[in-house]
Amino acid sequence: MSRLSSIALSTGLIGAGGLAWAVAGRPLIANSELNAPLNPLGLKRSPYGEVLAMALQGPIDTIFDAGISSGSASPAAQPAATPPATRPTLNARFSTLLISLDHASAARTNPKAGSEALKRHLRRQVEDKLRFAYQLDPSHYGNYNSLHFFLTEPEIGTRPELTASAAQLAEDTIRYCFTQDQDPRPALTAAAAATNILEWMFNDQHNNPRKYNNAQIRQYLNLLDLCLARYDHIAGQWDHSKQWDLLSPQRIAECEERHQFITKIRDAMEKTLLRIEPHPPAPQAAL
Amino acid sequence: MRLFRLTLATIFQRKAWVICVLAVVVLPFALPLLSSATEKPLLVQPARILASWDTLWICAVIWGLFTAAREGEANAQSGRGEYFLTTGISATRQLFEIWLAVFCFLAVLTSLTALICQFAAAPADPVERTMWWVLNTQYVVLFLLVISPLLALATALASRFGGITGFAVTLGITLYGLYGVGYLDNLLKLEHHPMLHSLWLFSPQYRFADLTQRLYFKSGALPASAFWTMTLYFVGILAVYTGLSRLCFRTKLSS
Repeated sequence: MSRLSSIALSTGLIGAGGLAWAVAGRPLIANSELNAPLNPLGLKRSPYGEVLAMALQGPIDTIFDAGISSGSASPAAQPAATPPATRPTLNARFSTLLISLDHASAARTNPKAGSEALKRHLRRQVEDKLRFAYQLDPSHYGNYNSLHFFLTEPEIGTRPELTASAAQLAEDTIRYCFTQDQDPRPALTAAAAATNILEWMFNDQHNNPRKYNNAQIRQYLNLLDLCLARYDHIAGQWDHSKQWDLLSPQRIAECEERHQFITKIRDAMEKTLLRIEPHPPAPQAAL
Repeated sequence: MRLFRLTLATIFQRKAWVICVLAVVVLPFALPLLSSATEKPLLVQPARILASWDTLWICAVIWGLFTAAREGEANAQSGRGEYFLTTGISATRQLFEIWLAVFCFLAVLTSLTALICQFAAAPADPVERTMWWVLNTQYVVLFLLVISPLLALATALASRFGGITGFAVTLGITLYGLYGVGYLDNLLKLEHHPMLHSLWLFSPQYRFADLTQRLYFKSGALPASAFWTMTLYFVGILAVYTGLSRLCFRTKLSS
């Protein structure tokens, strides 16, 4: 092949390829149905995402601690590895050493406290991390509740006036959790989200023009009952298929504790609703 | 020290170190311009600290380990190692000379980073300033203690199993020690598992040597006792890796 035809062949390839690329690329970009959400390696909402989201809670603690308790940790308090009464094994001693190093590497020895701007910046980072953990697994009880708490607690959050987006977050969580029908735990997360919305509605009682009436509160209470019923239903299925045995005792205990907590909150909320509802006189007479 | 000079000259001639030096010197000043520090001048120095030490870690872990692995492979493959062996330079001595050549480049990069951090990102407050150089020095010592044995291991593994193995294994160990161990720790905090616990216990915990966060949060210097314990810990790892590297290093390819 002569030099000229070789160059011509390459040029032809580049030209034809470029043309095909440009012609085919435009409709692909314009087609909104092909527009996949940004999800590197498909991790978000995947089984790996669920584990990563749990592991992420550690780094959040680190940043959170650096931001909030700056200046409070004295270096003298750090190397206090309590000597056990019996002679510890080599493994235990090594473990203690590593833990003490871990504490020392996070100890703040600077006598000056961090500036306000730095603290705000750190809080912003915490929020981003919490949101990322939530995106990895929206049905995780801890992920959802930490993000909700962060968004609504003015003492620690960056933007205290975020009630509407916190409600949106709760709604989204409930919607996502209802798509998970293989695991009882998302139903508990949905129930927690419902209690958060209810709490917000009850707080609204003190405002003069009320935004929510009792019927709306009752509607969300019914939704909460639905979530709990869904939990009981799937948990019953798990009892039947022995799937609880796949979980470690800690996970099961955690699950039971959350269930009890939400049930208690639910009962308290129903009582509050009965008190503020004007129609049924019977419970009030009993009180 | 002919092998040392030869390796030093080879790396110098390849000029990839120029990219690393440029990155280490320029990025700490260029990257903050792309960050939110342009809107909040208060954040310029934290942004510079992150840029300088992160660049150094990336350069050391990618370029440093790769260069060490390549020199180890080349020494065994080209017959250079065999030649030096006949002139009376033992295998261990060869490993040391190759390691020293790569280490010289990394020591310069580390010093440049520490100098930038010391003079272009120091806090204004006099109390914090006195702690600043202590923390910087501690970081330099720990960083070099972590990266040096890994360079030797990369060279040794590459001489026996090939350059890609030498590079990938040491890169994996570094990333695991820096981040993987932390995630393993978090998993263990959620749930105890005896086998994973002993794996965690005997993993190289390089995360202790990453003091970027301390600089970033202005947390002050490491407590002296903790620093010396860390030094001892990393010297221990260095000894283990040196032993392994000596066992693994070959001057010629196995037939």
